[in-house]
Amino acid sequence: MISSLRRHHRQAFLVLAVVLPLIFAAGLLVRRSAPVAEAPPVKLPTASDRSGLVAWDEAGLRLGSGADYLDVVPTGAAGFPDILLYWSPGSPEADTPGSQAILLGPIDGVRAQRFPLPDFAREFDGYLIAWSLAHRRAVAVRAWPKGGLR
Amino acid sequence: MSLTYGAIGWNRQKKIYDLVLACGIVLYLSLFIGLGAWLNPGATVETLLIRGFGTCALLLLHIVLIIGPLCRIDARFLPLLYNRRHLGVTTFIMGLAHAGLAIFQFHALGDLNPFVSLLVSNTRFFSLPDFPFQQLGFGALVILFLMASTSHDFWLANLSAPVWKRLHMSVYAAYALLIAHVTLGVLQAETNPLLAAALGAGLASVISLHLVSGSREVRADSHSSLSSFDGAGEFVDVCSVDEIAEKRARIVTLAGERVAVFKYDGKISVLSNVCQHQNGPLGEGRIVDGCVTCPWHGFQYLPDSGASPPPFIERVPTFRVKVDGGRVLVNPRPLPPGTRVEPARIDANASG
Ligand code: HEM
Ligand code: FES
Repeated sequence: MISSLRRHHRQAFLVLAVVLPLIFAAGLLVRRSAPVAEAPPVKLPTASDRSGLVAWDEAGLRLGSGADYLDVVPTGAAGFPDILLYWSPGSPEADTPGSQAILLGPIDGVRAQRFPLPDFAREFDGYLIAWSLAHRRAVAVRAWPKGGLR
Repeated sequence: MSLTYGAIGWNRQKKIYDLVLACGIVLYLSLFIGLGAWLNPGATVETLLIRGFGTCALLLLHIVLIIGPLCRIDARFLPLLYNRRHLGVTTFIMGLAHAGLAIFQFHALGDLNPFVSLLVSNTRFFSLPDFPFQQLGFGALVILFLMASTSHDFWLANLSAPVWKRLHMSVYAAYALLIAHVTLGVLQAETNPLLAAALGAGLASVISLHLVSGSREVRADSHSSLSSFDGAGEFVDVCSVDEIAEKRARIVTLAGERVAVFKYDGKISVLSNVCQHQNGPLGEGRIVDGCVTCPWHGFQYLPDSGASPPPFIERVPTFRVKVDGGRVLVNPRPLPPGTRVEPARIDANASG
């Protein structure tokens, strides 16, 4: 190379030799510690808890109910991250929530959860559907006769 | 040495070079994707391809950048330099594949134009961990594109080697952008230390090799830099005849520029050290078939005139030279490229 180019090359490189390690080191230093999902240990239902529950197998869930509530207890790690639980009037042949479905809430898959049941669920036969939002499919469907399980 | 600018001249070495390159890339990508799919069964094909192409491009760029200093340090690496531009163009193609897939995956599925989305979806320029690293990758890709598209000898000849070299020196800007692209991008989320270690090692090797070869050059220049003019004030004593090996040259710095002093067949001729092609170091070449032959890509020049043998048209400046008492004396004023200078005869002057 001609000497002026060689000089530019040298100057450019000296700058890089300082700046690049700085960028690299700074980049590594500012890294946020990766957020670790704080998974509360799944409190598997004890034998006595389990007595009132029925299995809802595909979803890895067990269900229990009172007059106006529904208990959902995971039996292990859920295979789906984003399950929404709906109650819908009608017969459980449907594999989508349907236009009249009522959202009960998201199932987080790690804790026992209690969902209030809508008044309609006491008056009409219907079905429960656990719907995976990401996969756009029903994870599990089961009939929910009026008045709940009993 | 091209008289006309046809398609790139393919010769046997270039074909072997390109074959090795192509096989290396196929091997790398299949290993990367195969291992990636095996170790992370949850990874999608798009992600594996994006990462495979991206890391492949960055790896190639590291190779491109260390070839230069390696050749300055040890001539055995010269074969790597021979077709470095294909490495460069391949780097661009791999980078393009990575960027294209990334733009498709991250920007094409919304309702904003993907390129607008690329440029505006993150503008947190003042936060390091959230820095818009994709824009940095885009900047690097633009530079690599300019370089790849001007890589042909047509551009080299039309821009002239120094201008072309300047343009191609922006590869260092691209490199800097990419180091930032990866450090502020994937390394912010990737907790596996392997990637950070690999990038750190690559960066360290590029920088240290350049610093080592650069400091050697500076030292060599200051050793060979001559300013003592002889009595007539016209000729500079550059070295003794015995210091030059037959059919080889000694490189000296005259008035700030390097010149190559060649000894062959009992004669001495002096040429600019700078090859017309890509500014390779002629003085590190040899005389082959009566011609000074550049060590980088084999361009040839007649030692007495600095002109390529017909039909080729490249020419380099020559210098007037004489031999006196076993010393080589050179006039530091370059003559116009291609000017024939009578070589100095060694034996006629040996007695002094
Ligand atoms: C418009 C241009 C570009 C865009 C939009 C872009 C986008 C991205 C994105 C989104 C990632 C993170 C991918 C992930 O997390 O898996 C990434 C990573 C990376 N990019 Fe780029 N990039 C561009 C240009 C380039 C170029 C030109 C190169 C190299 C020559 C490059 C090299 C890399 C490397 C080595 C990584 C880390 C490995 C990986 O995760 O893929 N990028 N880029
Ligand atoms: S630089 Fe290419 S042949 Fe000399």
